[in-house]
Amino acid sequence: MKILIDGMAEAFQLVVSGDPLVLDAAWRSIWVTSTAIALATVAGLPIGIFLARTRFFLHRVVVTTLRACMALPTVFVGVVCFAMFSRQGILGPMELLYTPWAIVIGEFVLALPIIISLTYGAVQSLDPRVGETIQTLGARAWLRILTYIREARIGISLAILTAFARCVTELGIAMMVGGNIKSQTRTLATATAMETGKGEFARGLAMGLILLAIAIVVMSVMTWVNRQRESR
Amino acid sequence: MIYLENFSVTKQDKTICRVDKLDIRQNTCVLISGANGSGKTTLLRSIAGFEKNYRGQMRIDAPARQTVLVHQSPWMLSGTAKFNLSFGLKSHRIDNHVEKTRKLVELFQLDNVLKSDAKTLSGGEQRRIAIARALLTEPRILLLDEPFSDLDEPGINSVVAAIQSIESTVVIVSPTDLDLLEFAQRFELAGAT
Repeated sequence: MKILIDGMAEAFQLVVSGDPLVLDAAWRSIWVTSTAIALATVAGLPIGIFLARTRFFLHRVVVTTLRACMALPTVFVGVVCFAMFSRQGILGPMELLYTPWAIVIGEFVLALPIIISLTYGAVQSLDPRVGETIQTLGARAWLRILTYIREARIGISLAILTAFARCVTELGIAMMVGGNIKSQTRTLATATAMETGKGEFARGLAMGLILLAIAIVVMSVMTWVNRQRESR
Repeated sequence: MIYLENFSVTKQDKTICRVDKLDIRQNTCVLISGANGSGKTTLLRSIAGFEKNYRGQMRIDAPARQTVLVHQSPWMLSGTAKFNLSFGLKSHRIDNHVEKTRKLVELFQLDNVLKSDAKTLSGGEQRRIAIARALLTEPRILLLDEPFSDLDEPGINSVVAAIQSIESTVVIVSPTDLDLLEFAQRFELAGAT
């Protein structure tokens, strides 16, 4: 119990004192994850809506596979990305290994099936009249997508939030393709693992608590945004 | 404009709509009446393109984007009444749409609710918005599923006036014959077996 209290006290102290290493890792965690989620959202929403509104050969197989991919082990994604970004890999010439962009791509792969699957579920559960109203009023493709997003915004917000929570806390990808390089690819998750490994348990716990605080802040912001939209 | 022959829709081995022959000319108004369960809504949905599994012949001489269905319980999209009214205009090039919107808002007495959340409005107000929203796209075929339920007398009169004033083929379904649509051709839908 004492170690938890010490961890919380140190977390508070680290943030208040503006510890540069902690702030650097925290900032990197946020921008890497935000970029990955933004890219996965842009790619995933139209795919999720398409899957919800159309049926084709092997549709069920595609949906089931995507749902299964929601539980992708981050270490597995990390290994696959490592193989792709290493010198012998197909993306080797891009020299992305051990850069923040390698983590962004890995987290994109992690987030994409989550956003597609949960968007699919959110749009699928809409009243059938939504699709018919949009269609009968002659909305073009881009307007249909925007309207489905608007109608299913709570479910889609949840999809994005879930993907963000999964990515911001993941360790496997950041460690394997990021390499935990100080001031370059170190994120809060890799810093937490490293500090704990060094025996600095309280400092590791402090990093973990900051990570938790980021997740709570993001969740609160999303809830507030949804309430604002609902009250319009 | 709309031609059906030996048309039927079957679901789970039960024929839910059957029409031997129906020929609706361009720019006419047709009132289709029939008992509950006779397949009126299914017929409208088929013409609108939402029921694909039908047998027989159906020919619609209008693009799908110019065939608009107003549901029996219209769906209001998230947003204000004004947003709902203008939704169809975003994908259709309508000349002088500002003036046309103003006239319809005035006719349907929607001035006071334009800024309100469409989902919070009464059934009658939602129905007037749905019909006005459909009319604003200037459809070649307008399909109205029981358009007068929920409406008070001024509301009914405004919808009738709007239907009379447009140059579209209008198909209305109703469980009973409606005297106020004296200008409409009649078609009785026999119950399917």
